[in-house]
Amino acid sequence: MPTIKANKVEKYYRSNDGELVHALKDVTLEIKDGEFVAIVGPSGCGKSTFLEIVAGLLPLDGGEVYLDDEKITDTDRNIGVVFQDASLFPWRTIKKNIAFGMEIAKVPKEEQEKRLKHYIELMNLRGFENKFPSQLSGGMKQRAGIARTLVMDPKVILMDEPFSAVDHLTRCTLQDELLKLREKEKKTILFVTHDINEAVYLADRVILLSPRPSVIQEEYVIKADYPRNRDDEYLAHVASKIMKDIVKGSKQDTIEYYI
Amino acid sequence: MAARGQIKKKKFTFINALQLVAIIVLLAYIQYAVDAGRISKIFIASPKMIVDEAIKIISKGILWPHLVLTLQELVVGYLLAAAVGVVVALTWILFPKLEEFMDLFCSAIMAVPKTAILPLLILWFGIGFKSKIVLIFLFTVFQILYNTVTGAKQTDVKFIKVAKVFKANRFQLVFDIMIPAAIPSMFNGLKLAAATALTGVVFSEMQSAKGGLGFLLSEAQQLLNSARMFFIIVLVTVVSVLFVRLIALIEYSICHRWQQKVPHI
Repeated sequence: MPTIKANKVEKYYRSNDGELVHALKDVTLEIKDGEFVAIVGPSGCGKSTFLEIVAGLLPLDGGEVYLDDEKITDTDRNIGVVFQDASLFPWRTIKKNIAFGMEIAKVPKEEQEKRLKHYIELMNLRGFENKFPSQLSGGMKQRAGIARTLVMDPKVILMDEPFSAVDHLTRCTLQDELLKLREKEKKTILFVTHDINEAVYLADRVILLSPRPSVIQEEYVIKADYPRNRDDEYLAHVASKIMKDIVKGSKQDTIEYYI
Repeated sequence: MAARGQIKKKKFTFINALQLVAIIVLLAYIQYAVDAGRISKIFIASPKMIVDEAIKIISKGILWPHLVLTLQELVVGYLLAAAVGVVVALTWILFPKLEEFMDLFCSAIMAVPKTAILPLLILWFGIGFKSKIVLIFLFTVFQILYNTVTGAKQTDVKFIKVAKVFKANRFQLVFDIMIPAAIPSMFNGLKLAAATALTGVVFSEMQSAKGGLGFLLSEAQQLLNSARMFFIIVLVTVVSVLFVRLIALIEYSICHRWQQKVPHI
């Protein structure tokens, strides 16, 4: 039984000049329990839109999305979201930021403290509990952002370009930490990124979305065991294949994409 | 060398030196021009006359009761406006329908030049303390109200998304996210209001009052005492600046730990 099932998802939105844009077209996707799926695609394709639909943050214009065979119509505590720039509240300390979801859900205080201790340790945030987000580096902020999601113990974690705002070295560290976390916590992960190498290094399966209207252009199963090697030839081969497909998928002469 | 985390002390630059020289030259010229009779004492008082007059009205105890009265009016009127402004803002943020209903009336009252209502206020509340309080209140309450509400409305969409993901209800969204997000904007309103509050007090005291700095000012005008007028203008300016600084200091003590930019205080 798939954990997340998207069936013929359609999404339109109005652009600023009033034009109706067809963002997602007939997107059908199943994510198995414990699977790590990455979505890549040229910039402006609907990858973040799709993620927000799965999160229950955006309504869809056609099709449906299921979590364990239950239709998603609103946000759900079983679906956690890690946002692009961590989106921590500047007026809360790191500890209070991580505790936010538990406060909202009215988790008992002792239980809160227990979970906070565990995840602050796990995300290497010890010593930063009483700092404010503005005092932290991008990498540390995103660690706190991930911890904030993990303390709620969601079944599925959606990540929207979570490491795009950090430097390369930190990104590599965070990627490895994420893989270890996944091993330990056994989460189902949907990961949106514009970094193809990142997608190939992390995911069990990579989905390529085409330019608008976005359809699933291609699917790649990454047949490599963890821990993976960053210079692995097979991974490099898959990455370059995805790259070629992106170019093929974008028919215009001038294509804007990120590597 | 400033240690990490310490605010760097401003250096006294060449430009600052020039500015200082310009002020000294200007004051010295006025002193000379008045002493030499080139400008009439009725129009401009020399720096020395102003200082002498200040010493006189302070030492004779003339100034003190007026200053205290003005400060009392200022503080009471301002605190009333701040309390009402913030509380009404909270209810608007919580119940947007209430804003929809009240906005028309508040905007209408806000649009009336407050100085034009003064005669009516005097008719209703007399020339004493009460009419001043009401005028300061009307002068400042809308700045506080609208700045706070606007701040809450400009809450970053991403914060609202986070709240939704964690399934916050409306009260949690307002109290845990929109209100903290509105604090910087609320303080902007409070600072603007602090700056305008004194204008309101002094104006109403000049029009009709039994005391206060504005009363003292218009009395000095009738006596053609330009030294006293200059001194009161300087004093009112200093009070106004200090009052705004005080609000900025309160803002700093609340927000400085989480704000990236250190506000200028």
